[in-house]
Amino acid sequence: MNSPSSSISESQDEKIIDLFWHRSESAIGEASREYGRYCYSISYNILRSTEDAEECFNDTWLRTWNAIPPQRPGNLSFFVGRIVRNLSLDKFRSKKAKRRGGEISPILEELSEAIPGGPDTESLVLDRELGRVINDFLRTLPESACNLFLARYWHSMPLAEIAAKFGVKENNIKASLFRTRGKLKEYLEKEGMQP
Amino acid sequence: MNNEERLYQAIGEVDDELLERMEQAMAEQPTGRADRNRNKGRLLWQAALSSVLIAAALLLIFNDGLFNRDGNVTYTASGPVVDRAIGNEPSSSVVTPGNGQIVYFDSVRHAFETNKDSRTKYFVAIDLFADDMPLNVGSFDTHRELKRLQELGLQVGYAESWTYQGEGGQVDYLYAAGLLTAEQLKNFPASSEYGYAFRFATNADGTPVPAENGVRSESKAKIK
Repeated sequence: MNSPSSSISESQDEKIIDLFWHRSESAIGEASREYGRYCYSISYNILRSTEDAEECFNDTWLRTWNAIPPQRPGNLSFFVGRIVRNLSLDKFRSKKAKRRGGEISPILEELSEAIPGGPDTESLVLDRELGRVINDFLRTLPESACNLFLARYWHSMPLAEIAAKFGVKENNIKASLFRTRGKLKEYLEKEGMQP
Repeated sequence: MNNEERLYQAIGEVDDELLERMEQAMAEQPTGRADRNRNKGRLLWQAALSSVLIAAALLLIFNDGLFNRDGNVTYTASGPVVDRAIGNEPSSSVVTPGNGQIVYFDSVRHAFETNKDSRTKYFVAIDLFADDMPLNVGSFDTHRELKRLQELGLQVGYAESWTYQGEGGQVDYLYAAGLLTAEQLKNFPASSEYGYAFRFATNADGTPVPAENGVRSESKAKIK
């Protein structure tokens, strides 16, 4: 599902962030009500486990509570989305969720194609620097290719869902992602992001 | 953490601006193909819910036949708009619609079935549900769905009612509403992502919300 980004939600965002900022316990309930479904869907896409997704979903609000303040996010939905995404990745790693067939396994396989030197190389030059380079790379892409890339690798959406959301055939999405991964690999190499 | 996981994690840190652009692109696409991609379990669940709803609807029709043979429709003075009707209102727990389903409260159904003037519009509250849970009127989903319906030419948006607060005080709040013809109600373009319940809205003291209050396309800031 989409995250809220309308004027309604912006005002709601500010209200909820203020609640966190002033340490009001109702902040968690409000955030959960506004973004619960969104966060749950991200986690469930990654883990394909109701139990694990619920656990990550619940932990998201505690992490958010601990993060605001000092942080004051500009867009609360993406902020909590990142938190639940990272929690879900941690859960995946700790429980070796590959066996469950969540969307994360094929996604990581796909991303291995974008790694300079192949997936077996020891360590990509990391982490903050990598984030900056990826941001720069995405800005070189056509908008449609960038959107499909983020739907797949930020939202962790299944291909069928992306097809439905964007009105594009699955085969065309696969082709676009394939080309983008190739370009990303070249870009990472060019930027020296290799072992 | 291996390289793929590092890359995946780093993608999580992309700028909000790029994410907003993606969300915007998704919101602008009509939904529809999503239906075919839902899993079988969901379809079974919906089928089971449909059975329950049909049973509930039959019960309500039966009750209506017994106790409300002379259903009385009240019109506003200002024109061909119905904003209230007398009938049996089921509790909301009975009429929670599943995704893609539409439920008309008895009074609404009775109003548009008994009034044969096709020009008549009905001033109805639209309760939106997703996965059996009511949507908050201020939520992005509500906003997006109302926008979709507006783009289909339906006069839907937000209307204002009031409720009690504190000791005898009143406070206004918004709800999703529409000014719709019988034809539009009967052929309502439901999305597979949401359930819809149509009813005539009332204020906290039971008085109908008058059609003169109107429907506005944006919520502004007054959200309960």
